[in-house]
Amino acid sequence: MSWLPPSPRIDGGRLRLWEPPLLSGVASAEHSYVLIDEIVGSSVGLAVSPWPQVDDKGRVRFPAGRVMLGANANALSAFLHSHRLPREHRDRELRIGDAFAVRARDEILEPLREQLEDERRLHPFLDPAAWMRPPVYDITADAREAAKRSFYAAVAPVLETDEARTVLPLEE
Amino acid sequence: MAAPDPVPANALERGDFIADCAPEDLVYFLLNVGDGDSQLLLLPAESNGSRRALVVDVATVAKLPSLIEALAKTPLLPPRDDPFPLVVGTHPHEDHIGGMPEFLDRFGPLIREYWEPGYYHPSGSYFEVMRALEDHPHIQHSQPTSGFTRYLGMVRLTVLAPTISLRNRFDSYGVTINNASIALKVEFPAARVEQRGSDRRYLRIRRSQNLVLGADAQTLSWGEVMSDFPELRPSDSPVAKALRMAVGADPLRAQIFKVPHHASKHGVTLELVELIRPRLSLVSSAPGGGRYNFPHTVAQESVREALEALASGAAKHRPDHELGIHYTCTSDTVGAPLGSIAIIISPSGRKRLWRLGDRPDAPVDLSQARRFVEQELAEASDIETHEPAPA
Repeated sequence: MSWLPPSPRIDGGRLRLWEPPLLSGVASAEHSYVLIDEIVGSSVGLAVSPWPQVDDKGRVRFPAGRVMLGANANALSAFLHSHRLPREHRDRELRIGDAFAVRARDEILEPLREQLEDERRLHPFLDPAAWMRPPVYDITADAREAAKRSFYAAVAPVLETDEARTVLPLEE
Repeated sequence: MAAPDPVPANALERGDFIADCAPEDLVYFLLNVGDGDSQLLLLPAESNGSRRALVVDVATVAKLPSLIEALAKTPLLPPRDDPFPLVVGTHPHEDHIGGMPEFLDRFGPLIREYWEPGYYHPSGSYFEVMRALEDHPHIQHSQPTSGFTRYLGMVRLTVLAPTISLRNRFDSYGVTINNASIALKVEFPAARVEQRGSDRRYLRIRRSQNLVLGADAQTLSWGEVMSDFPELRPSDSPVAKALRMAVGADPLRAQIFKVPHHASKHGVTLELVELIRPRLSLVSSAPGGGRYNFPHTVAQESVREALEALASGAAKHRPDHELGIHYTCTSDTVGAPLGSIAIIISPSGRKRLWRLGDRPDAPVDLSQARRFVEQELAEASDIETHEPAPA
């Protein structure tokens, strides 16, 4: 019998779909959350997660089941140029930390799931057009805003409304 | 990418890893997690005989807990309330914090402090790490930059990177996530004070064992590190003398070097390795090159050349294991994986290198450990400590 604590079961309470402002009324469990996790030369590492949820404290939660897959940077840029929303972002350079909401073609990814979960696949790259259904929502700004919320809630207690009142006049 | 050559099977022999660890030893683990980093430093036993452990990155959910569970069944990690004084998430890439949320959820009550660089990365693991820290508000959170130090018993930690200059550019997209990495220097033993009856004596440690844990810092970051921690040439100027006294002559020197970024071509330069001059250079990488075909030949050759300068391009370097370069992904000549790396470091400088024989997706089994015998690692330390001389 180990003296170490067992793995706890984390209960997030009632969970609802995360609905970032850009996807208001559009977000669905059929979306995947795709993040540019790494760029090495012409290789792009994409972290693909089931669509996040929000717990009863308003925290964005990611269920298990993240997989990594790869894309050629030029192929991904070309695909985004054609299908990225909002359109004014279509020519934005690829950057680590860019986040997208896409509907993945499960019929393409499912046969690869075991290999993807082994986290070994990056080559050969999948053509983005083969597994992403347009459009691709660029939710980078919303995702970074949510990441900042999660950070500040972690490093200092969340303010109750009464407490927040003292700093509201200072808000941007 | 050049796959590391197999190590001769007769260079390793079975032994009792647990018995080889003396209470006063520092034990460093670089785990075989494929693409990614998971590291654990088992600190020397304290006066009550028990040890604490420092965690640097948790790439995968199962591997590091399997090592901790194995150690907890031995005298190396006996029960205590505060076994983890510090956990470091060097940067928020999946291959460094992919298993961190589960680690924090399970061991959070036993953790005192968490370091991360302050780089926002909207990944699932980042969100879940922050959620886990929120759920454990007793864990002190810090974002250290270069020069910050923390003493943990017989060990002194110094943050080499990121520099303040890089830190101030994180949110402008002017710094990539790898260059946000927290790179650490570990010095052992650190200076202590001895109680002698009703008096005390400062123990100046003349020579120390140093480890540089490079995380995924790349050339931009290392350039700033080399500026912040310069090699100080002999000079009689008062400033040079004062600096040498304060920080030593070659503050980046280390016997053990965890090669940055899985030996990508942007993670290491010839000049950096020449400054560090490691006896052991350790690479965490996946069999077959992993996702990004690491280690890169350019990085491998830089390390080799720094360790064994050749007069001409026609000459060949000795095999990597003879140069002290070891990869988590290597196998031996009969095809057995060498797996996770463990180094037992005595205060005197004596070092023993063990391989734990695990595959990336398998738990650690300490009974499978083999000791590396080909290279004599039992050498005296030759690195001056950074402690100033007494007045």
